[in-house]
Amino acid sequence: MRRTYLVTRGWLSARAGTAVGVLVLAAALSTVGNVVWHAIPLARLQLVIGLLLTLFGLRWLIKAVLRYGGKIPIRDEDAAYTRTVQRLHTTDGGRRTTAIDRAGFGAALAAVVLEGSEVAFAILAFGARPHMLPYAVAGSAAGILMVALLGLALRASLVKAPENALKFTVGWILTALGTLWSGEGIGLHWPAGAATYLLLLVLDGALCAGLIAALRKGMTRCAASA
Amino acid sequence: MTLLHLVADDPRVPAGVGAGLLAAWLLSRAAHGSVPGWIPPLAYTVMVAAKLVWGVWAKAPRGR
Repeated sequence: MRRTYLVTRGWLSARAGTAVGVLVLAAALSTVGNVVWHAIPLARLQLVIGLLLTLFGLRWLIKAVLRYGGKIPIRDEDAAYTRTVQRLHTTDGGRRTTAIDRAGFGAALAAVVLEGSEVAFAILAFGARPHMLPYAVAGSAAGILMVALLGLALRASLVKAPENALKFTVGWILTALGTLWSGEGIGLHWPAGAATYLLLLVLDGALCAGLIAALRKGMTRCAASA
Repeated sequence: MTLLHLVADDPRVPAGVGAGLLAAWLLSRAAHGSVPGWIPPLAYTVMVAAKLVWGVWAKAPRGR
């Protein structure tokens, strides 16, 4: 997304927006994040984060299943990229000057703060367990590095990324993990302990596979009867 | 995507998951002797799975 702003509005606005976004994020996390981390008991943190993960995961999973089942069209990333570029070109007449423009600056700032908040949220979620924080931080840092390298390597919008597969996988993982954590948050004792996560993955995966097959079968039947 | 988007998109999914969590919590509170310990987690798992099935069913356009 950030590259779209660079392409349409110039480097200066995007860089300035990114720098301010990083500062805003750092300030917010060092204050609010610190309070959350130290003042809220682990069980409550697990409950809130687990519930959010479940809801985010279910939302993505439902959409991905509907797309795989042929009920809603697969999102056209190329068209979305073109639309964003056109929108940014038409904003303020698409000026590309050496001065910082509001549209480019604001878009880059919002992207960094929103995406950065999601990364912070993931670190909190995965690092909430004892001794897990360094692994969560390392994993997130590796992810950020990979995305940056991919962006440099591709030098274009991520048109070729299998968006629905990514959303399905993330939704699937979040739903299973969220169910486990929110359950632990209210004091449930899962019969298989932490290994229940794998069982939940298998259960959700089988359910999704069944739903996709049922949707496709329904589509075939409709087409045959038409 | 914010929490507001999540709820606004379809309030019945968060409501259903919340209800499942509440039911599991109540069952786990009653679990001391009266309800086997594996019932509350199973109830919650089933509720989340049901919301997944229901969410797909409710959002699937008909007649295609």
